[in-house]
Amino acid sequence: MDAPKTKIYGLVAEFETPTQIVDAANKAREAGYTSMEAYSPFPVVDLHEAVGFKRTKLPTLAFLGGLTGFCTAFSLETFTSGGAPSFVTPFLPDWFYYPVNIGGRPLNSWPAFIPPEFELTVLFASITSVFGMLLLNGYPRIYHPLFNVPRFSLVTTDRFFLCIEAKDSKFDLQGTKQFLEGLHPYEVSEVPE
Amino acid sequence: MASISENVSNNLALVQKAAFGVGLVSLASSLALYTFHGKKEFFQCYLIAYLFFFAIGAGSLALLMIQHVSAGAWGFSIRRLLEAGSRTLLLLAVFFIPLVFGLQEIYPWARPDALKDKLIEMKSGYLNVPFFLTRAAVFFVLWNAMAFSLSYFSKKEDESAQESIGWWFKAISGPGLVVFAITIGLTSVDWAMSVDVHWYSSMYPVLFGFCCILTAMIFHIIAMILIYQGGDLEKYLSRNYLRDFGSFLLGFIIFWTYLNFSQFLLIWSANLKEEVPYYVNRVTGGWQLVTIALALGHFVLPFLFLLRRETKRIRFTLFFAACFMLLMRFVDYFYLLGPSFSPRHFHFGLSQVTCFLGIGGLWLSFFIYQWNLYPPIAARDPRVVKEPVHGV
Repeated sequence: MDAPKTKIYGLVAEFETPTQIVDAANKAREAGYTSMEAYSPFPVVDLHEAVGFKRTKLPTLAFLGGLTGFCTAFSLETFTSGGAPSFVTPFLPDWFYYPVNIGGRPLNSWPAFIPPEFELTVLFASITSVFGMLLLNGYPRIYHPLFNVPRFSLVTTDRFFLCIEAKDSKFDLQGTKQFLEGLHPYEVSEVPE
Repeated sequence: MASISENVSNNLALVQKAAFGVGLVSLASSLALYTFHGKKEFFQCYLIAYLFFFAIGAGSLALLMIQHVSAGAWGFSIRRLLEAGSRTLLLLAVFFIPLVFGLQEIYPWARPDALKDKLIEMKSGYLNVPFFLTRAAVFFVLWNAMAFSLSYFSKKEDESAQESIGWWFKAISGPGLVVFAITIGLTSVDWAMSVDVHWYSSMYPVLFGFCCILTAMIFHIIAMILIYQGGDLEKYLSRNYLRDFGSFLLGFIIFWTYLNFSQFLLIWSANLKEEVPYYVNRVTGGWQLVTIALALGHFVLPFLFLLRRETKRIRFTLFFAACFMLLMRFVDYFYLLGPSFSPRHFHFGLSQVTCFLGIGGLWLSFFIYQWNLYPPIAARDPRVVKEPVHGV
């Protein structure tokens, strides 16, 4: 870690309260830093805006996932129960087109179809959200340079970390370190790559 | 001491006077229309308009007790609005009195020849005029007692620094919610469901009680945005506060749809002779258009609109959504009883408009009067110390 040749991933500052890290991130953004990331044990309101986080495509993906689920359930139920329009039914295979008379109700009993449509909407939307979130976050990933900072393990208990990455065009080891120390953190550490 | 902006309080005084005037004129014209269209038309329109404003009063009481029990930050920001809303139950008790003279026009079981019907005769142990009026009187006493005692302790809390007063809010609200659930359920059967005297649905009391909460929530979102702007209370209109209310609105709309659809699906699937007429009346004779309008306007459109995070956080879009939903709430109350009063034949009378403006105008001026009685924020509420903090 002390070897002079080590490549630096960035500088990380440790804070003790959520309010401190939101203030710090706001100051860093206002100072012109763009490549930074905040780490906290729980979601902190306003923090994503403070680090200049842009909205992801996840809500759109989840919406499309839900829509797919709805359409899947709708067509599955309509076609298998024989509720499809009559110009389609002659083209359906026998094992798929299976009209069932249930208590004399119409073949296309759309009110009864809604609960499964709702369930598949929720199922598809939530699966898309969870896996979309993991993929957009770059997971699966087994190594991250921040793990080289011993105190970083506290991020899962009660400490908040703000990391300014070396790829930032404004990054300069001494200047950024001074800047971070001016924000009154508990500690500032270098993060080896 | 927090206060609302001078501009807003001037406007409130103006609205109060205007609403009072409009209310008096409209009630007078309702009575004039009474002579043209007859008793039936007047009382049926009056009941529909009455239920809409009753919902805001009763729903405010329920929300007030819920926020005392759950102690969320959202509840603190509209606590005084909810208290003012719950105290309007006093005026709503007065507005109930005219209905006493028109029970025969509204409820089939109150008509003189009602007992010839075997089914009504069997229900007459519960559905008879004296018992009906006793129940209404007892319920109004209970609701007003809860509303005014919560406000009484609010006043006490403002005056003294005793921490023990906070205990009273919870002591009243916890059992109060149980009382509210039972009384509002019986009220739904009495005032609304017994219009279709042969019909019954076990989902109805839940739906009716929940509609009160939904209507009150919509009203208070609008009131909050209008009253808090520009003054010291502006901070309670921050994006994160508004998002809580937007999420409530979205969740409540979904729950309304869930309850309505469950009731419909059960009745549609069972297809029983004594249950289906309720929905047959609502899909024939022009009423089907109202059904479709509600499905689109009370669920699909607001659902898609409020689904986006930003629309819930921006003041203008949330305000727009709430105003639109308040309109749809009225359509829903009209749809609750309209098709039962005039089955298989769509009917929207002029009396409906005058009754709505009449009750609504007087109710709104009374609400503003009640709102002005107390300081706009409960300064000694323990939640006031928790100023908007990050990460809570």
